[in-house]
Amino acid sequence: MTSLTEAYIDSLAPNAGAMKNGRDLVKKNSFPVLRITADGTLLFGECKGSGKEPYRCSVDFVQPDSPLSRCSCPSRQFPCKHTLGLMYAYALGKPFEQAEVPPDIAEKREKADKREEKKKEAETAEANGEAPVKRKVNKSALTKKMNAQLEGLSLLEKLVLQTVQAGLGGLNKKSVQLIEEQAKEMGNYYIPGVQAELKGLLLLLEEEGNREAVYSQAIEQLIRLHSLVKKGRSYLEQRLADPEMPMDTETTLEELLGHAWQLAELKEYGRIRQSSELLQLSFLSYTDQAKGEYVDAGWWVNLQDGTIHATRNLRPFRAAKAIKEEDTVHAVVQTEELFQYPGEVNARVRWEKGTFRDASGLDYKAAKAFATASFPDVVKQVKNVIKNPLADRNPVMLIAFHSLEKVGDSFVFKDVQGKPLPINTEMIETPAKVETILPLLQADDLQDQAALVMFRHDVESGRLTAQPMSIITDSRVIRLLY
Amino acid sequence: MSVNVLLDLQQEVRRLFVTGSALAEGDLRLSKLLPSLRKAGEAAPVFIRLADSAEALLTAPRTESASKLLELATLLSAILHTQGKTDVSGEQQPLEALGIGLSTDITYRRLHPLLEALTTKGSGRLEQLRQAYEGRSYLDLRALPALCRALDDVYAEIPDFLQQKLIPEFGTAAVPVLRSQLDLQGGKGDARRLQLLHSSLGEESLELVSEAGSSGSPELKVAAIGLLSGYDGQEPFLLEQSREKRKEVREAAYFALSQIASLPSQDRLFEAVKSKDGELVVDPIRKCKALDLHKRIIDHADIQLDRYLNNEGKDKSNALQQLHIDLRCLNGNGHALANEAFPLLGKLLATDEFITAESEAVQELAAELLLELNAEPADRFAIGLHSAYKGKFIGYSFRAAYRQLSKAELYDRYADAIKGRSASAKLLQAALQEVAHGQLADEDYDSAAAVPVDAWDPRWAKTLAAQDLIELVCMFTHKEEREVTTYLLSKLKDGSRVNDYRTQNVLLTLFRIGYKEAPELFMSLLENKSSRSFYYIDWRMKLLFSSMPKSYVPRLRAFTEVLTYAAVKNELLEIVEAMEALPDEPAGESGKGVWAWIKNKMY
Repeated sequence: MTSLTEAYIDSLAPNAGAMKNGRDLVKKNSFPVLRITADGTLLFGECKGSGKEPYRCSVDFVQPDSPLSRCSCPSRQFPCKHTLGLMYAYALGKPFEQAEVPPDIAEKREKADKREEKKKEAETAEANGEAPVKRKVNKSALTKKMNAQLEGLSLLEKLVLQTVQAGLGGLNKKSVQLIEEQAKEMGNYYIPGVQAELKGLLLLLEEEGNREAVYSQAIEQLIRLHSLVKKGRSYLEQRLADPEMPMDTETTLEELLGHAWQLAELKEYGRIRQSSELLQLSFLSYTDQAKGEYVDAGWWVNLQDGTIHATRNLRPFRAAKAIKEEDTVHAVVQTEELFQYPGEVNARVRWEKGTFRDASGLDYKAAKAFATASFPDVVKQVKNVIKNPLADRNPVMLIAFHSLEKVGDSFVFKDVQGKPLPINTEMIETPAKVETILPLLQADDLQDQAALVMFRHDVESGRLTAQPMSIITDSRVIRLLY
Repeated sequence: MSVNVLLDLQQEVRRLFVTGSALAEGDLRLSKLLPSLRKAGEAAPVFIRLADSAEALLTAPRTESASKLLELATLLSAILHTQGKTDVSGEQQPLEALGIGLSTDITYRRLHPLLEALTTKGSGRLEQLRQAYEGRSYLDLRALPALCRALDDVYAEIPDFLQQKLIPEFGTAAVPVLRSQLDLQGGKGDARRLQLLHSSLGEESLELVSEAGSSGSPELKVAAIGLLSGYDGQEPFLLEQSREKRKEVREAAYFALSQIASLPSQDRLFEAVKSKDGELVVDPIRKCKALDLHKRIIDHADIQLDRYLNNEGKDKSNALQQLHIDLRCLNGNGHALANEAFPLLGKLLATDEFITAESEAVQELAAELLLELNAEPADRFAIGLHSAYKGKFIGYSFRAAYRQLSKAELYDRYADAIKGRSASAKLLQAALQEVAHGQLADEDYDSAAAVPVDAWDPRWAKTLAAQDLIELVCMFTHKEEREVTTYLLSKLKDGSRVNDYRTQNVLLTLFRIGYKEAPELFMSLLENKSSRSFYYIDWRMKLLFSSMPKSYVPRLRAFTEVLTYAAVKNELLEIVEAMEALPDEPAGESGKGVWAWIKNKMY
């Protein structure tokens, strides 16, 4: 808490706007009252708002690694700009007056302590062999739900077959509108994932411009939908026949159908890894139009075994303001429990409690050591993944390259054996263009380093290319995205 | 594996997807592929599956065609995804790394808004750049290309800001990027790139700049010429460029030549003054340090005056035009040229035949220049213009007299002329105002309303009051004087609005001269119902507030509390509170402390 830095406060802020607003409050001298307790665990004060009464805000550092913000303002952003401003004021060295803990906060602290105790009791009870209350599944409700899901899949199948039978060339505004209505209807069958895939097709069809490219993508999407119907149906029918059967945790099928995995479920299925260390290699925030959400995606290397994990922080458009926007993480994250979602490559992970430590040269070296040295091996691995129509079409891999060369206007990686891997610079849309950054690097950075790359198979040209996301050297990560 | 068969099959499948699977039954082109699929199947069984699947499609009834096509496509797609090619054709050469050692450590939430601002259109982008500049969140390798690219932005303030603040911070790291983006045939953005390259490379960039100057697009030429003027040996090139077809290029060359100021440059500039480029060289010549050039222009102007006086028609008007340009070239260097210019200007203004309606602009210019000489003989001559030409130059006469005469002499000489509504009286009033305003400009707000006491004859206030020149009266009143005070009070009657700046000026004057009723007058005007709505307040109002004695604070507070507009109310309440906080002072002394406090808040 004494080492409260601006960068740390930035990391607490829900978005860039909140950081700026918080700082502006300090600049505008909006805190007539700034106080701190003698033990330094509580900052509190008053902040002028637009109303008559000032907002009373406080930040509690009783648990130093997870400060708790409280404010009397009605903002849904958390922490709000007032509590952020309070912390900035402290970090920027504004004078704080020493004072006692106000009674309302003291009361809240007490309650929190009690809650903590209860939780502990429950945990010890569990450790002593008392089985935790197992979640009960309402079987008849589940059956009903799965029947509805099957019905939804049939609806989709009919739609796909109709579209294929009539041909993409014959689609007009009216028929696209019809599909749109069906997509909406799909919302009634507990398969939001399927609905999103259908919307993905719609977005393609509504696209203006290069018809030929659209056709190729639309065909791929139709194949994907068709496979989803078939796989989804056989899976659901199996589970319907045997309700005791566990959920599929090997593939992303459940997620594709639209299941939102809860941490408790993942725990139940044993998808937890104890004490892991993760280093973020790349970060990107993008918009998923089909699902109607912003996605803050991170790609991480597990420093124990080199697995490339992905994190996805989803912010649906409707609630985007109230959800924290994730940011680039430079530190190594240490987690006691790493929850791992089902999936083949780049399985999604999450953690509830993580601590940070500064990344060092050792970590970069460790990450680099996990990179695959032979391009043919990586390519084989990638092809094995993408041949499945339901798989992630853009696997992300860590490769070791010997050199980065230029071919005409484009680039190519070479491995130690001189085997090429063509570089694609247009797969991921970012304002900072990869092709403009690569030539700026130092010669050392382009020689015998590792790169995190995303693959894509282009159906039209039949080529497999990779876009570099980051270059990992012995001393740093050069982030080409964020 | 026979990849070609696969590609052919892919073509057909794709075609059927576009035309619709309903037409697939017995499709000729697809069935033609069957034999080669079967043949390939002898080597790789997966082709047999493809052939079976294709056959199933060919023989399926319409209703089942779609699912058959999808099955075939799924299988084919899976196979093709394992056949993705990664070979590279074409010459491969090592990537020449430019070796910029910048980090890529700025996080997404700080870098992304900056990149968005640099690569999109729309409002709020400059603000975003300012923030990035303040937070230093732009010193990142990934931002550099976009920053340099945004020099082409059409919203000029963005490239301005980038050129002046952000890009120079990168130092030489920006050079390779700027160099690779530079297009010598480009537009304004490329001119900026050239300037930035020059400022970080200095003489090293001379070759590039010369190239831009000789073969670049006009924008680049202009920029290059500006940069080249600082180097020896560029004169021949600049002389050549001063004869370029494009006006902008010539102008830049003239500016560059005026900086060099060598004899050939002077010759060229003098030549240009006489040519159709006269207008264009006025500014460059004004900036030229070599006054020999200006002396030549004075001689030239003298000849033009004679030409004007001795000719008729076109020749006459041409001479006048040239005279106008010549005189304008002298602006800014008046004092240094006093000896040479005075004879010309004296002759010009003393020649009755020259004082005509068509030459009015030149006369004014000459009179203004006369004062600019700032020399005694010139001023004496100007004073002598007092009543010449029906008082046409009385304003200039007065301004010269202010410099040369004592304050009493000045008053005695001009007090009568200022009376009335004649043209010359108005000119004199304007001149008085101009001189007085010039004295106010240097002062701070608090004494803004008055000219210095010892600079003027005390009789002015009364004289001006008699002429109902309220603004001047406010400026010239320093002490209570019955006539003047009565006049000022007369201005406050009949419902003057307190938030009118004229009313406020009168009140401020009354406060300044220590008129006893001033606080009450102000208070009653404030409390007058008609002046309740304030949309804003300026420094005058704040000064008035802080001029009030402390005994009025309760009434001021009562007034402020009921104001409608919150912003105004809060601002005034702050002042009232500051006044309340002050210790009790002897009457008349109040206000100073509060005013200092307010000023402190204003800047």
